[in-house]
Amino acid sequence: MATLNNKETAFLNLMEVHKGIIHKISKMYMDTPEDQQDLFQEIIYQLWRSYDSFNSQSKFSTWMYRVALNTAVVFFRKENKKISSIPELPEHIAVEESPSVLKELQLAHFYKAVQKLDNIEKALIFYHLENYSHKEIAANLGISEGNTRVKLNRAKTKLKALIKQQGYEF
Amino acid sequence: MNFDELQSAWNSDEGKGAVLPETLQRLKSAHMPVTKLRKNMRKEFIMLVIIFSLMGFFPLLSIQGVPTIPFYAMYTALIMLTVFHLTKFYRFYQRLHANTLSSKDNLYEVYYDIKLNIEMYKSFNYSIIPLIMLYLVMIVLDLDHFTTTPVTPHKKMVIIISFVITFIVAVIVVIVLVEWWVSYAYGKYLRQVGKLLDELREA
Repeated sequence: MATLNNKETAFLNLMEVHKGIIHKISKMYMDTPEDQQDLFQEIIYQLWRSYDSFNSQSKFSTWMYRVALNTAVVFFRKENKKISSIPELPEHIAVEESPSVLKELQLAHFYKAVQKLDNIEKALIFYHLENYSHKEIAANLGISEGNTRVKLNRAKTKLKALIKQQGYEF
Repeated sequence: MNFDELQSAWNSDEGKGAVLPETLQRLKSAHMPVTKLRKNMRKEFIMLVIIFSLMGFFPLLSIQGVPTIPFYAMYTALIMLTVFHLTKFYRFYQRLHANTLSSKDNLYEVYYDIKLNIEMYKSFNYSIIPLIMLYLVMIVLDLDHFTTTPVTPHKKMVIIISFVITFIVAVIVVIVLVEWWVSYAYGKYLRQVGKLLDELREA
């Protein structure tokens, strides 16, 4: 029992450090706060269930991204749920706004656009933003490096077009 | 905005609003395709167990034309089949998924797991058909025993043909219903994972 508690505490401590990135994955894959919370919880559950398979020789974040994205890719949103309203994006922002406000606006446009991509494209964009090389992305997705390059370029072009459609310069 | 700016915005996002559960013991999987599929199948099996338990009392109603011995022979075989399939489902239910594999391997594993569960479900439903046939054969063989008036060869032939036609119609209805129900209730999970595998194919 004490061992389980120690293991759980160690796991929760790790999650405390990495919860932000899991939340970001949830926001990429789900559009409503309720679905994002459901996905967040499901990822934590799947990580906990697979925790024994984590080999401390490898990097925790790499292992975590795999489990988190594998979960997000096949995640089913709740059926027959009332669709809650998605917050509208601000239409205009003054040039003199602070950099943090500007970044928030950019992120709001990014999340709204990325949610419209295919699930695999979302994973590609995620790994790209986490500075993974084509080789690393290919290994994590289980596809060839050439295929990764082609698919990532397509996903980036699609994302750019979607952000432009929202009236934001990209 | 360009991708460098997006990268900078992404790095600055700390993922505010993430709340960890207080305890991990109460966490349950609820939104994964295999979990949903098994949850639905579990509900159906519970219903079946209730129906089969009630079925055991059927001959006690003393309805004419329900011979007791063939009925209980079929009933025992039905219970054995159900126990066999329930055990198989339970074993699969306990199996852990290696979701630490690459996305493609993980998707293949999920895909074939769903397919396997669906095929097991179908095989369970179809395995009932020979039992019904056996039950009907037992009734036909023992026809004289269940009727008060002697059965003429002509009448016996008419009864046998009626049984064969009823059996063929019942088999067709069972197959159509099972295929429709599986496609309607469980096929969507298979289609969703199949679509994801398509997305991973070489460009």
